Amino acid sequence: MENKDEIRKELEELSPFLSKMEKKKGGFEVPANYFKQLPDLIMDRIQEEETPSYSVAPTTNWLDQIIERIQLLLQPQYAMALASVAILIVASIFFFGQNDNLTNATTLAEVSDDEISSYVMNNVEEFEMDLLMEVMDEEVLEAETENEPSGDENYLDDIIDDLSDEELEELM
Amino acid sequence: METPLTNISDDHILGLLNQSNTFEKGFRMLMQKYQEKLYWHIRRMVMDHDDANDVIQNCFIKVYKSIHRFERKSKLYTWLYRIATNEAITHLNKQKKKATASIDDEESGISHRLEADAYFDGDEAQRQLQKALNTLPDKQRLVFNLRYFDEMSYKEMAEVLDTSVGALKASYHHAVKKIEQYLRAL
Repeated sequence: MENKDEIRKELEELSPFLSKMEKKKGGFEVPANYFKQLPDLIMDRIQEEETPSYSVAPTTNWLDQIIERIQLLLQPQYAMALASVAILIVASIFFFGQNDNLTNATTLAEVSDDEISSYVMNNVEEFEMDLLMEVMDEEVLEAETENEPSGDENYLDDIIDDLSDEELEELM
Repeated sequence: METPLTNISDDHILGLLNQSNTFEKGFRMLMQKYQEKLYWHIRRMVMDHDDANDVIQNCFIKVYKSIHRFERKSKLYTWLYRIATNEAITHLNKQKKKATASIDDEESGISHRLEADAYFDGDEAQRQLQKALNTLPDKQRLVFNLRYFDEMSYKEMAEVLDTSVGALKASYHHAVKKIEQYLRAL
């Protein structure tokens, strides 16, 4: 390990000018008793840092206690947790809500035609007229298609049967 | 001015710090043994007493929180200097971010601060030396302070600054030459 003499000699070689300067603490001083008080100052700061920054004073009023608890929950460390829980709840509602729609659609597909007809008949006044007419037209068209004669000739025969002799002569 | 506590061995202090019931006693001993050396080291870096007071307090709080991680791979003395140096450099970097003044303004600012500092009683030569030191880059100023004022060996400086002995010698030589040049030009 180098000693002070070696350090002094090194400086003399490097800068005789600088080595002749009086070496003080750089000209700096400290307030009186500073070093006596410093350890206590530091220990006080350590104790302050180790004590929680918030404290709930004992109160008897229940309203004050609720307000204090809410204020406590709004502390940054709790506020983050609360925000996370709120996000989870909203996400859950959204996710399970979508699943409910899917379940409803599946259940509707399982209902028989008879049950649907029965429901419509019992609640017919709740349906709009346009919707009913549309459904009726479709049913009539289907019925007509089912009852239609197999050939065009039968259809023409029926029309001819309905016409009078005068009307036939006019057409001829 | 040194207190008798400076004669207490590091082993004794570390032994007290190892047990929870004697931890505070050991920590107080550690502060009393090293506070002056560390304070002057920090003060020479940050110049102002109030700044040095903040930095030394932060430094010891950091020591308090991390002493259990000291593995005795280096001397306690150099480990403490390392923490103090880091705290001082962090403080200087924060100050530089705040400062918008030019180099010339900074130099006159240092002179003004030394004159305004109630705890600077240096003569004109000391004032000029501080101004000369302030023209050096932080790392070079640090090397000069550790060698010139703290009379630290290059090996110890290497432990504190995590730099090779060769690089430290070169840095110190450059610093001495620059300071001499500055002072001769006055």
